[in-house]
Amino acid sequence: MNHFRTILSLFLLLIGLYFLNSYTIKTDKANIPPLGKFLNPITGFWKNAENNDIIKNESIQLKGLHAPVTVIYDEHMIPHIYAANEEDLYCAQGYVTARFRLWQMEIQTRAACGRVSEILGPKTLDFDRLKRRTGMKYGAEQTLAAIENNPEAKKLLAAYTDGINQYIHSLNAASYPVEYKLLNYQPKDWTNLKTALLLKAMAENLTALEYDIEHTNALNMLGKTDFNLIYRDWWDEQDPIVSKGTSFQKHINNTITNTADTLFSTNSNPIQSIENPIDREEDDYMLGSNNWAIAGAKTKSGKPILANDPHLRLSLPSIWFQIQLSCPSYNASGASLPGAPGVISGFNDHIAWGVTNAGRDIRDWYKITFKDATMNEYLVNGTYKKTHKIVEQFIIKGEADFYDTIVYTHHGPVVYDRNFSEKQAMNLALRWTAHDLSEEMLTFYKLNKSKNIQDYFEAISHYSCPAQNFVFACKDGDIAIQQQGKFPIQRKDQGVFIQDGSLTSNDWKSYIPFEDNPHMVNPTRGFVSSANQHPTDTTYPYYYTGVFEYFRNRRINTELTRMSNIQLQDVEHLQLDNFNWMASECLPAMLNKLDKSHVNAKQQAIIEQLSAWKFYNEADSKAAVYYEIWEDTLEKIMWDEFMHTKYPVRFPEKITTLHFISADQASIFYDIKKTEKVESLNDLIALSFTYASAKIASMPEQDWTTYKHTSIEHLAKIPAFSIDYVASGGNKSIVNAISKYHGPSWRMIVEMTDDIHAVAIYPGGQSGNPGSKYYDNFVSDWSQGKYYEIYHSALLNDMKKHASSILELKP
Amino acid sequence: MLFSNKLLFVIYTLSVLLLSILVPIWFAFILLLIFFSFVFSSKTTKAFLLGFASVFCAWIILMLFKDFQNDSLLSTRITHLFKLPSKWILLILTALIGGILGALSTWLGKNLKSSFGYIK
Repeated sequence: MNHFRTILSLFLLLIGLYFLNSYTIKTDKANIPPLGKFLNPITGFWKNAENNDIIKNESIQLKGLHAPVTVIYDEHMIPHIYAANEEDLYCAQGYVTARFRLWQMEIQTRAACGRVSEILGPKTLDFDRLKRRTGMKYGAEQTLAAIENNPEAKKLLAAYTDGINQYIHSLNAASYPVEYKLLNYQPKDWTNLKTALLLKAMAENLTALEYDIEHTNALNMLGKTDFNLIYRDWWDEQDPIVSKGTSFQKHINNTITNTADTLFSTNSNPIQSIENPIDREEDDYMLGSNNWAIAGAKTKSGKPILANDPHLRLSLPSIWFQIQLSCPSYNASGASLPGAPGVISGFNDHIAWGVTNAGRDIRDWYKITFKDATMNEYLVNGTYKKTHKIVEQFIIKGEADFYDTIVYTHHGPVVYDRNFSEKQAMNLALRWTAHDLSEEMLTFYKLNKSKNIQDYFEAISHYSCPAQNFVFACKDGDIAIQQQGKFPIQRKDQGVFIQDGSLTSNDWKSYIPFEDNPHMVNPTRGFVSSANQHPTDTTYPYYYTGVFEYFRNRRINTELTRMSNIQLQDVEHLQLDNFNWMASECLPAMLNKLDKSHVNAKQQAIIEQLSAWKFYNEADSKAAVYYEIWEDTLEKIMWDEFMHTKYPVRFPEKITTLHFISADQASIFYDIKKTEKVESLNDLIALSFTYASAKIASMPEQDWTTYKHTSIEHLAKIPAFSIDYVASGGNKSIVNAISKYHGPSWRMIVEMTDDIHAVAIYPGGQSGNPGSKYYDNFVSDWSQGKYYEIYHSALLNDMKKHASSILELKP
Repeated sequence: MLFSNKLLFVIYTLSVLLLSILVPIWFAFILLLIFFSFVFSSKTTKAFLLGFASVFCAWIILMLFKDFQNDSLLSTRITHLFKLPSKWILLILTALIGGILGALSTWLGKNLKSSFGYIK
């Protein structure tokens, strides 16, 4: 009897322990980690609840250091790292960054190389496969090979990786970041490849701005004439990065044979045979950025001022980690990417730099003709060439491994084929500059150390992908901007559509030389700027296509031209500017063409508010809500042809919408297909106003910020770790580009006075831990348009007065 | 009876607390309580209650301490994550988990004593 009780109690205890420590509860929405393991106060999430009151000084051993390193944390938890040499500096950067952002670093690289299913199970397998098929890992390996060719760069990257790993090795089950506990897995060692993967993730994020597949579908739907009407390369009101009228040189004697692509030279329809049209995830690309540099002639101090605010998807932990890196050979401050060494957007004791996205199309899709179903050979100029196959293994949590064969051609990986989807009739290979050997890491390393404009040009000459507009300002007075990246030389319209991959005449053959990339140095107008617009006017001697903005740049350039005697605060106001340039051109036309004879009292009130509106999307504006609802409704009924199409097509750009609203001649696009009547523009305006005013009447009265509802999501989209609502003005296509999910992910202004005066802020906090008060402590100030002074000094003793705590790293 | 129930409760609770601070294995208290219960064996109900109450209380103390220092930042988020109506439900639920394992441990300890304790 007694033995029975013993066995029973042992059995119950073991069952209970197993359930609480090892059993993951699976629900439709999420996996709930083993409850005891996650909730217990000894190793569970409670261990991540940081002590808010005590910040203590620490001394930690970091193996491999050549000399002690001192890290001063200021009141914002921004580390100021002082090392005796560059290797120690990078090791300490890796260590310190990992302390705050380890999980983020790991999940971003995990996503980039398609290894999410290892932790989340089969539901993310397609996501993972597409990442591998897109060649993210392949590209990262190429980049790493290039970096490791340079012994100096290899040594520094290894030091950075070592710093991260020493932090990882110091952890135990209790000290893992809380996301590991929630998803119930353990951190793995960092590698140099992961740093390269992170840069590829940025490349993908910023250069997936091509619509080859959607354009091809649209061409089939519309025919060439209408296609060219809707998807125009250039509208004349554009204000390019390099001012209109600048003369360009061509340093390469290269004649592109104007062989038209047989696939798309006519209106013939090559993809009617697609059984399963490629439906790529649609994203309203709101990525963008602003940067500018103002010459001393226009500033009060007589020294240049540089500003940068990259607009990305807002997330917690933030994409950026602010840092100061100081050693005898340089002293740089600014925003770093957790997982990549150095400062990405920032300044040192001599120069300042910042980046915006170039938006040029550097991803082309090629139709591959295989000899047979084995995909061992493919057609090139009438003969068959061998393919190269790589079998990729996918580890799936809770299931057997999955293997996917990816076929490589001389273009690149065949992303879409029968291996990917049974129904896939067309095989498409991707040619992308992110697959090539490249040295982006060297660019940032050298920028961190640059002292003048020659150093700056040398540094960016190493840069290929994702193409960026590098703005520059220097204490000695120089300002400059260059659109830098590796750009293929293409014939007109090449890269707009899917190309025939069986003809080498369609291959990329050479690249635009560095010195021919669009740039401006010390222009007489006294400033350089970029906001994702075209880099040049149409006289640029090379063809290019891409996705370009028409509104923010014109506002910035108008303001910078008007302003003089500029101070840092004036630049803050410009970064925070909520003027809606699109509305200023669009709304007067809409109001003008609206038939106001039959409006009711409520509609009359809306018209009055809109007429009085000065086009500022301020947080408390009601007219901004009315305008956005009306414009959105009008756009949707005008472009009804482009919605719910059988094959995915690209929705017309805002600039095109604007032109069609302002136009005076008839167009078939005004007609609403599903109605008997043939509508005119005025009909659309009247109808959209009726719909919009009905929507407004049905909603509770709200201001712009409430309607817009900006949120900052946690990287794993865990609502409890996200901020659901951030009060803010602005919108996409507005200088202060805060939309629902995107916005200025980093705002920085640097004045190049003798003692550099710099301010910055970003919508997040230094810590990646949702249990820290430094997780999201910048968000409220960011949304109110406040900035923080950047403490920057090459002298450790100067910095000590800003110390809230000190971390000593000992060899 | 060498120790009063109150004293045993205090000894159990403090030992569980101390062990939690020293050993980063969350269920280490199981072995401790089996041992304690083996040594200080008492009636089944008493063993059960002692095990339950000591871990329940030790965990509540640990959680409150963390939560106070953290101004409830993380517990609020986790409460939201599990869609619980209040932070206190989260605390009690967690303490119940510890308590049940604690009770099973002391019960086992007591049973082991009955099975093997008198063999010499």
